[in-house]
Amino acid sequence: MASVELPATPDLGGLYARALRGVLPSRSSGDHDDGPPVLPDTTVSVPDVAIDLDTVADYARVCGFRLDSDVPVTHPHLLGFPLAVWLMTRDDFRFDLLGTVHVANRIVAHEPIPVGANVDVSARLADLRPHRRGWQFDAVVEVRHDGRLVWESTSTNLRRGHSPRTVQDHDGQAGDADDTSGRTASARTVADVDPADLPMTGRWRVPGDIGRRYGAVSGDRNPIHLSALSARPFGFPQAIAHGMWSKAAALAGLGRLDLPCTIDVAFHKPVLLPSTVEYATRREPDGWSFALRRRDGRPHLAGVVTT
Amino acid sequence: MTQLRDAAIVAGNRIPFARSGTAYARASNHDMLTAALDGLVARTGLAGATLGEVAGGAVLKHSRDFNLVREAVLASALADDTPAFDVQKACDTSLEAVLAVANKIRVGQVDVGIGCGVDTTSDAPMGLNDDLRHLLLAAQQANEPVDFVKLAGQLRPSLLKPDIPRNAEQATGLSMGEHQAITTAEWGVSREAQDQLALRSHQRLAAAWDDGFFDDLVTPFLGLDRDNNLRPDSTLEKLSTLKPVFGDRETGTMTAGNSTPLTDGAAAVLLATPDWAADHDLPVLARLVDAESAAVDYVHGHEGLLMAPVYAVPRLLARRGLTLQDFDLYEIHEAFASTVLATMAAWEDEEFCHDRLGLDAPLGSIDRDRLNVNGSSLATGHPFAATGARIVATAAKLLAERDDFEHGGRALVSICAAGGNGLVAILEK
Amino acid sequence: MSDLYSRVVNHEYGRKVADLLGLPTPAELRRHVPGEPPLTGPVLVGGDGDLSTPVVELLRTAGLDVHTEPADPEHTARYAALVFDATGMRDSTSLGGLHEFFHTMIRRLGGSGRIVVLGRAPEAIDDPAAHAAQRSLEGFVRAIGKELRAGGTANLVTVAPGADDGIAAPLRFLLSGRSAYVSGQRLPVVTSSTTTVADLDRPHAGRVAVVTGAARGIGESIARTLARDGATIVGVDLPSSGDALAGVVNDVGGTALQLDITADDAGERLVDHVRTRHGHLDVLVNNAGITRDKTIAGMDRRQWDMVLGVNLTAMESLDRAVLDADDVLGDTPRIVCLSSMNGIAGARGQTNYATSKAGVIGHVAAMADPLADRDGTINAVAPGFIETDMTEAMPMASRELGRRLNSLSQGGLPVDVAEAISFLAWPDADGVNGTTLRVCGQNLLGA
Repeated sequence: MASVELPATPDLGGLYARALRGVLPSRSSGDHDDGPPVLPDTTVSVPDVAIDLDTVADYARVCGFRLDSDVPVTHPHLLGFPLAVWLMTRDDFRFDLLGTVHVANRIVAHEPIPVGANVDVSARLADLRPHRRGWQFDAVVEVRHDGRLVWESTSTNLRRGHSPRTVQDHDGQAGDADDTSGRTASARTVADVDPADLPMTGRWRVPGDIGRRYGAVSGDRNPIHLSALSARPFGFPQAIAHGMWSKAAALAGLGRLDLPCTIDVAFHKPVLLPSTVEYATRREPDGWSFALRRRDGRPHLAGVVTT
Repeated sequence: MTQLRDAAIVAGNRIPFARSGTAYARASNHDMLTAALDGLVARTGLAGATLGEVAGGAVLKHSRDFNLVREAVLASALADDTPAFDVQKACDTSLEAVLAVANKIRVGQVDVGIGCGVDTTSDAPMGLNDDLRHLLLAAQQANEPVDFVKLAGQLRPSLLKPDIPRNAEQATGLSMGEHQAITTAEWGVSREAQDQLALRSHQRLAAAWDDGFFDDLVTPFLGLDRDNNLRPDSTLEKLSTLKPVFGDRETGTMTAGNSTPLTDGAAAVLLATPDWAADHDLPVLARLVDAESAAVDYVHGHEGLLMAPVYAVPRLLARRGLTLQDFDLYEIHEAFASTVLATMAAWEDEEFCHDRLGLDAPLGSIDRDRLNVNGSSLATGHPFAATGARIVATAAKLLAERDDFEHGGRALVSICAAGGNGLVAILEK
Repeated sequence: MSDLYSRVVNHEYGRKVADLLGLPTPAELRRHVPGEPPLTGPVLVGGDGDLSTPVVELLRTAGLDVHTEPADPEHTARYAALVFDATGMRDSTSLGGLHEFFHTMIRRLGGSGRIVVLGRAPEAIDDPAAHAAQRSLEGFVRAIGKELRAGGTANLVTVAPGADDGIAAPLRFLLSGRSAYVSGQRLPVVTSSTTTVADLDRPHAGRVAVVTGAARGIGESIARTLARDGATIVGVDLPSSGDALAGVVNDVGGTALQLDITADDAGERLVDHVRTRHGHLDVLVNNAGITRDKTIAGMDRRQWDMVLGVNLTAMESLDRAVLDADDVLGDTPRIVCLSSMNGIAGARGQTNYATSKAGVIGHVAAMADPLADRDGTINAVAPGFIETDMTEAMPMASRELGRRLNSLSQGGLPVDVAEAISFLAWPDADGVNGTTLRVCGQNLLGA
């Protein structure tokens, strides 16, 4: 496996511009190609990334976390996501970034990371496997502090069918995440969570600008999150909330988590913006079960925290 | 009538105080108060414990924070079924909160509780200006299109000017510093005396930090592990070069050096019955034995805005059968250096004590070596609602540290507040 | 948990490449999970000596499936552990028994299998042939440790005369997942044990444990592990780490003490805190330590003094303060100090650190008697390459190398160190005193 060290975290804006080019029919590479798909066999890393207070504070506000001496448990995603996108916009990535759907995410938080720390971040794509709706692969991010692995994240992506245009049919089903849920080492998995079954803890009004606000904090200004106008070409009637925002907001609602812990989430129907969602939680012997769901009970997100 | 129980001060904790716009510029009241509570919980081993009550508050508060203290309890390591309520009494907020918990303990309503306070001037709320607010409220009531048209006609660019909370009295429009400047001039408090008091506050606070006095009173937050207003290397020369900021620009004596800066921070005090403390292997640092509040008519009565404690103390002394000299420690909140000096001058002044306080003889002077011995607000800074809890925790620990006090270990706590309010309390070993 | 190398070689292609180059494939180690049985299969007890009978009884009492003969001639059953009593070996010719037993049985050891050889302390044997034979066992264990695959470990327990019933706790530790990263070591049992533990899953129930440097890293792991094993934690760290310390302590339940252990009155304040808040102190873990790496020529005196001051001087005075606090010390006091592999092997740029950590080894050896007078023990743990902050300054290449230079072909985890510390602090580990146990996966350095 090759490794590439970048001097600084790449700018997502430029990467998306690059990715957008891929949607145009003129692009010769991409998943229009014949032959079996492969992933870039590269680990990309950025050393010594400073976690500054302002960014953490902005992130905490948008997601509902309390500002504390340690970063919110989902925050390091912001550090690794641009690296994963960087890999997914390379020419040797055989899918179009904008045609992939984030179906699941697992975070293993080993240790708290203090605000102000400098960390080493790396990302790689792994485990390409066929799925009944297309192909799945993982974006794996690792964050090291003082040489220790303190945080890791596995984002499972689904590339449906073989054409970027089929993504218009984004109507995620519970089955989308089944490939990841079966692989958890813990006894309790996200597949055990029935979102409709959890007791309701709250009802949230998710504001229409949350995609823009999270986009401003994370740099992830994917057009599907910004406005109805920019989301429509990608098949969404309205803008949708970032999956990792909804995961973060759901975790913020749980308060302090005992580390180390593993947080597994399966993403189901996207949260259209604006909308009102139900927040449902249940304490478990080894952590939490939680969900975001529509008022009719259909799930947006289901998750488990295990310690 | 049942015997009142003792209200013991068991532990205290705060986060380091930070000048406005510095280390905690991005932190909210909720963030800071939770951090202060968590530090207190860790030190006392109360993670997961249900307490009888948590009382506290903030002076500068967003409207959404009406349940600030309860929200902080929920976010803290305390059990979620710990009740909590908000109090607000300007700079007396957390002393009033401590008193509320102490009184509940004394009458037997709770066995243990926390009094606390927090303030941020970095994340201060800004309101809609009153005109726009009224307009919007009216719009909510409007039914007919014509009503909207009428309201729309009232829109002016000036409506967009936000209502920024000011450190000013509603009744007079004068800032606290401007009020104090009047008092300072009335009592003829010299610039040098003020600078000296300020310098001493910094030196004593610095020494206390160096001695490790705050090792069990402070938990770091957001990378700050000492009060960042502290200037241990300040000198009288440096202080004397500062320009007056209140009162007359030329002849005024109050500077940024002898006034407290705007500050962010949070502080908390754990109180309990001595039995509860013993059951939980916690020490009794001191007991809060009595308190008295007073207020002055600073609007038409021509009393200084921050002089209320001067009136409260003789009443408290009379009730307890004490003289002003029967204390081993005095903690007089340094809103301004001249507040402390004018307060002491008033107690020494025969005419004032006779005419205003109705006393036959002046209360007399206090031993300066017993005053604010580990520094006070001039050095730590003054996050309004946190100051009372900071002072109580410091005084209680000072009392607990020594066994050779002349009066067996008794401290007077005096905190002036906006609105002409004042609250004073007595702690005893 | 993964590191780059493990990840690569556990990948299909990576493994092929690693095999091609003859590089080892690190196995996932079996680690302790509360409530799970200490072993995943039967134990075979072999050899012939004073200890076979009591050991079989001991293991059976512990609920293990103990075999004294290979029950299955087809050689299909896997043993989770092989325990060999070599105490009867009195001369070099009798050592052949080792070959006889392990030659066939080693193939039947399962994944993360355990080999424990029981011997006599050679120092206590006057007869030259018997002394030599018992000394031989150490070489055997170290060699077989290097032959084990799939996370297996091999260790030697040497038992002093009259200390036979002190082996229960060491055996329980070495057979369990708690000793995942302990291999190739000699663990001396010097006295008999007078203590038993009621709940083996919570050996520290009702005890108070002080952990210095508890805010982060290995110290945090020690605090969590001792709390898991039942102890009430007093977390100690610098006032400037108070927020992280509060987080740990509020998680595990206990009290936080913000204290600079190099302060003159540190011992007094520690004892005072324990006295007022908890009434008794049963375990003191001297974990707080710092590095200030420079070659001796480039090191200034301050860097030397700081490291020695924190790692050795402060620890010595804390131990003294605790020992002097007769009213606070519990019935079975335990002190465990952090040494380091680099204190044994030395490391370039660490003259100060290695000096201090070798000093720790001497300290626990010298303090063993004073502790024994109080029915207590003092021991040290010397971690090898642990995935933690001490590896921070290392360049990538030496870090990767550091991970491989041991029989388990991987770095240890902070919890591995914490498990060893918890064991040495067990009430019934009173047979082990004055020793330094390496937790290094049988690292080549200093071995």
